[in-house]
Amino acid sequence: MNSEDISNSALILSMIYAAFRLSTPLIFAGLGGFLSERSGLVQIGLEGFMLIGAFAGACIGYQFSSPWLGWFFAFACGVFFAAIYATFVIRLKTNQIITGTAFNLLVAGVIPFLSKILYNSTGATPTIDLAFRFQYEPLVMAILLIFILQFWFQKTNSGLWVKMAGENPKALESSGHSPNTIRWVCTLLCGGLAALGGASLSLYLSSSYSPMMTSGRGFMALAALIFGRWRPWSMALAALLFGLADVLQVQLQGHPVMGIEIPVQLIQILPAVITILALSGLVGRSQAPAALGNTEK
Amino acid sequence: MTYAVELRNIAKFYGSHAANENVSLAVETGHIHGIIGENGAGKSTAVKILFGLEKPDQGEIFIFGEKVHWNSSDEAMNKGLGMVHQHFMLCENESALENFLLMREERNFFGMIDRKKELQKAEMLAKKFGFEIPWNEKVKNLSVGVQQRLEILKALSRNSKILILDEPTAVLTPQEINELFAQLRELKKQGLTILIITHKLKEVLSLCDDITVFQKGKITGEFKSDKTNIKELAEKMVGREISFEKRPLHKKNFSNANKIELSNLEIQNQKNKSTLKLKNFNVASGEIVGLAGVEGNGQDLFIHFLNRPENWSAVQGLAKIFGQNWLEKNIREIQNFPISFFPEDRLKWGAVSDFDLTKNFVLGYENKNVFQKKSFLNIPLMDWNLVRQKTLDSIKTDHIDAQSPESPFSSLSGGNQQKLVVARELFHNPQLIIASQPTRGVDVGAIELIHEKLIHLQECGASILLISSEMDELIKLSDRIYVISKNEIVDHLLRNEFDASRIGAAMGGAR
Amino acid sequence: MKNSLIGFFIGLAVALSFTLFAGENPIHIGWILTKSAFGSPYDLGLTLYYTAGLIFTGLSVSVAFKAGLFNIGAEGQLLIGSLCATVAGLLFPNLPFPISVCVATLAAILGGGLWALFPAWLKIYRGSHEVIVTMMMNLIAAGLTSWVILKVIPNPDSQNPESALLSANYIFTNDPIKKILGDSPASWALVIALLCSFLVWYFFEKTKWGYQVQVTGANPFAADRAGQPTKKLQLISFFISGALAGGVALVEILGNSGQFKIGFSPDFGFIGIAVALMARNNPLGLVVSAFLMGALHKGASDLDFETTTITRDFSKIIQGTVILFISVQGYAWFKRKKGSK
Repeated sequence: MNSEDISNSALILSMIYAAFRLSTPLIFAGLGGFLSERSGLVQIGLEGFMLIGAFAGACIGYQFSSPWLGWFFAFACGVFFAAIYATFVIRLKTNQIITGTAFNLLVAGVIPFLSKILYNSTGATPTIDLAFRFQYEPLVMAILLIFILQFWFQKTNSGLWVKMAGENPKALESSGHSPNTIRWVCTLLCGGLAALGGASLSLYLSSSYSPMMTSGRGFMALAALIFGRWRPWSMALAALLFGLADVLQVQLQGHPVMGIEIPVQLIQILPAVITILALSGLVGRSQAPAALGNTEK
Repeated sequence: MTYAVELRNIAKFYGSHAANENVSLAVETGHIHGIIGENGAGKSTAVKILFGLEKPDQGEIFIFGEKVHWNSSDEAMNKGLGMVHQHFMLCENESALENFLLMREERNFFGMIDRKKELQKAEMLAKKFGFEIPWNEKVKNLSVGVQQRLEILKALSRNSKILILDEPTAVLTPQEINELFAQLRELKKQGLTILIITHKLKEVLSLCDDITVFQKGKITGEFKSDKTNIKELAEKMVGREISFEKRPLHKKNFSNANKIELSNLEIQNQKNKSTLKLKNFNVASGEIVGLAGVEGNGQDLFIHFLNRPENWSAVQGLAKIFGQNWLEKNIREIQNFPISFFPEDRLKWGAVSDFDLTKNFVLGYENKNVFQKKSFLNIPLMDWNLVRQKTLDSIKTDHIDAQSPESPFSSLSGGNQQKLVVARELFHNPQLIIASQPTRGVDVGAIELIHEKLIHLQECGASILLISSEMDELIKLSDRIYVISKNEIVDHLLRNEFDASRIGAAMGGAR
Repeated sequence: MKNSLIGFFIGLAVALSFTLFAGENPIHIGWILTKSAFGSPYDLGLTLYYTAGLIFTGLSVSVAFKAGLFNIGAEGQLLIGSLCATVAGLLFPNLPFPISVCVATLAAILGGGLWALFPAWLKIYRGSHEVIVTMMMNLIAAGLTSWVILKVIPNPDSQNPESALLSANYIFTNDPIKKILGDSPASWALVIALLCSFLVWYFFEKTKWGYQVQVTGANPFAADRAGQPTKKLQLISFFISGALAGGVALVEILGNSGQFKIGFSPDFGFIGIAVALMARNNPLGLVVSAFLMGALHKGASDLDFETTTITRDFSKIIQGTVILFISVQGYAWFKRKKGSK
């Protein structure tokens, strides 16, 4: 093995590690989306929940110089906002897609509003010292969480209830369970988890919150979920694939491949293209939970 | 003596409408108790209240002599009630076992499920009642009969002592009905109390010990089944005398031309490849021809063929309708023939419930020149004033209970909805009428009106194909009856051969 | 519409009460919003500029909705429409004035329409959910336009992320609307937008096709049984929906800047959902709701220099809460209708 090979394989290893790192936010948000959608609620609001988590995590993480405090606070904020969201969607039965869209708009307005009050700026939050950032913890937690959710979904009572809430809520109701209670729990957890995805952006992948830093990752997480056919492991693999696309995009910037410069934008849209292919049945068929989105009756 | 179930003075109001009023009902332990009534008579409401799905506005419930007050159906289940709903509460994409697991007594959020053990338990229970269920098969691959057995097992799984069945026979073949009744009698022997809701009088007489009749939210009669008869029950159910006579046969000679003439026909759908064997099938002028069969045995395919022949091709044989080769036609051409369809499910196939009556009155006929006015550039404009006027005329002549042509379709009762649909379909003077389940879910007044209209049309020389799963209706109206089973015409009876048991056997697939 | 207005004002009140957290007086903020939206002809012009854009996207969402489809992709369609108009303009700089504008308009309509046609085709023939597909198409449209603008047709005279300028042949120089409104971004496109809402209204209320589209949207089974070409109707409706979203190109590219500036759309596509929702898909009521939402957006843009604590991002809070409360109103309205049974 000559030195070029070694440096090449080192490069590839580092790229794979980077892909894992970059897929962490997507895995958290995707798992959140998994809970929400398997219980029957379309989740367009992931982007908003992530943004909340990124901001809340960065603020508290900086204030107390503790990533863990930031982490938990982000989760709490996610749950809080999810409660508002759930009030509208479950209690008041508003349209899930419209509410999700409105929610994303609302969050995009609330964060600069708070940021202006807290830091008198609508730009990035103050930078957290490198020593008070996560090194690898969110990635480990994300992988553990996949195991936990998979196990919970397959082996427990409530896992079965979630599945039924998404497939046939009437069947669930007729057996004496309340689909709405299940959906409440799932939505709250979804908000919390997606917020953790956001917090891993601001506390793990970088060291502050910058405006709109999720840049569509909420939608990418949704895409990963669909591409992964609404299953935790497949979703995580899809997220890893998207993470890899993200790494390539950075790697290829300004580095022509075989004399052709590959535009960054075209790599950025790759996840979206793959998702459409998956939905159209060209790359395996994605079948949504049967009762997804039908709560208005 | 204590009753298994006792309702005392139950009342339930939706707005000013009394769904139940002064309902008192006692069910003896170990009996099979039938509850009958027309659609909307309040029998379902009473049972929903009993099972904790609705809360009564007044009244008390006693289970085995103990006064109870439900907050949810879960509490009812804990007291030993089990219910099989008319529409099965099953998740199609999951296995029978997964569906069964929903009924587990352990309700802890994080309670672990040991599927091996659960499977054994389920098999034990099935054995106890003599049921056989392929537990690992997905529900969508199970036959309706097996699905129903699964539902019954679910209802029994929590040591239930009282079993409630809502219209259990609606989706079954006569053979399956016999099996179900045998099983219910077996359950009765094991000491269970069974409540069965139905509108089929013969079934209730053959199965039940006691019968309670509902009409317009109130109880109008209580009988021992060995001391009553169909006529008496029907009168209590409807509130007046009704005839079970066959329609008198007016023999008139119309031109002998057949409106529908299928010879040795077998057709295939080009998309989903389902086939339909119609063999020799004809409907002449001035004739009402019945098509009997359990729903889902090809009637819908037949209607689709008549309505959308462009999607079908002949495997063999010929299809002539109005003397023309039907398989060469498409929907646009068909709309120029005097043919009309009564949809089997008006809310799904025959109307838009959010639209007002005027807009529903042109549905399917918006291409007709009468309802259009031409503008410049030849853009077809709707003549809404005219449509409104015609709608208003129909409301008056058919006594449709509606405030105005602007009322939403969904605000009408089932009977009035059907009357409007029938008025629309007959407005353009059809010569061939495909009437599919024309009286489903409508009150007796509307049934009589619709039957009269069909008979009148027939007397004027129109041809009517009556597709129905109501044996009584078929026998009363038809000149001849074809029987369909598993996408195939399996029997053909002339009027003097009409025999419910022969038709029933043919519907079940026996020849 | 009345209930929507109630929802609108509840949402506005809730959003304004947020300003208490920033130590501001909500009534004062409300006053700033009003003043900034209607204070001068130029301010009104900006409001009307947003109104025109929102009429197009609102119509887009509502036409699709009447056909039973949810077009969450108006944002992507308007980007592609605008891109096509820009490219057409740069390809044919020498076309004489009215023809040039017609060509660019046609390009915008085709661009937006075809971009919408693809998800509709996937929905109808492959069963893919149009909401997710159009959402993904939004991401693709954003990537694609930014690549074309930055790499293929960038503005050689500027560092800003924007395209080269269209030739003067594409600009309506004596635009009376611009003149009245103090040379503001509002333009003749407003008249086209109003005309479109009238045409859409006429189409649905008077023509046979409009009736058929509505039946298809409200009950596809009944439409099919009635012999209506449901697939064709849905495809055409979604094409029209996308084409209407492409109409934003008239408002911005041809009517205002004469070039494609990346990020010019303040989420026209998403706010269009609110506009359609508020108008209950009535094309004429839609003009009113677009005006209200446009005024809000313009009003909030002055918060940056009128206050020290609240920024223009506040408009997003208002839009978000307003949409939330309108959709609640929608539910109440629905319930009352059912309750009257």
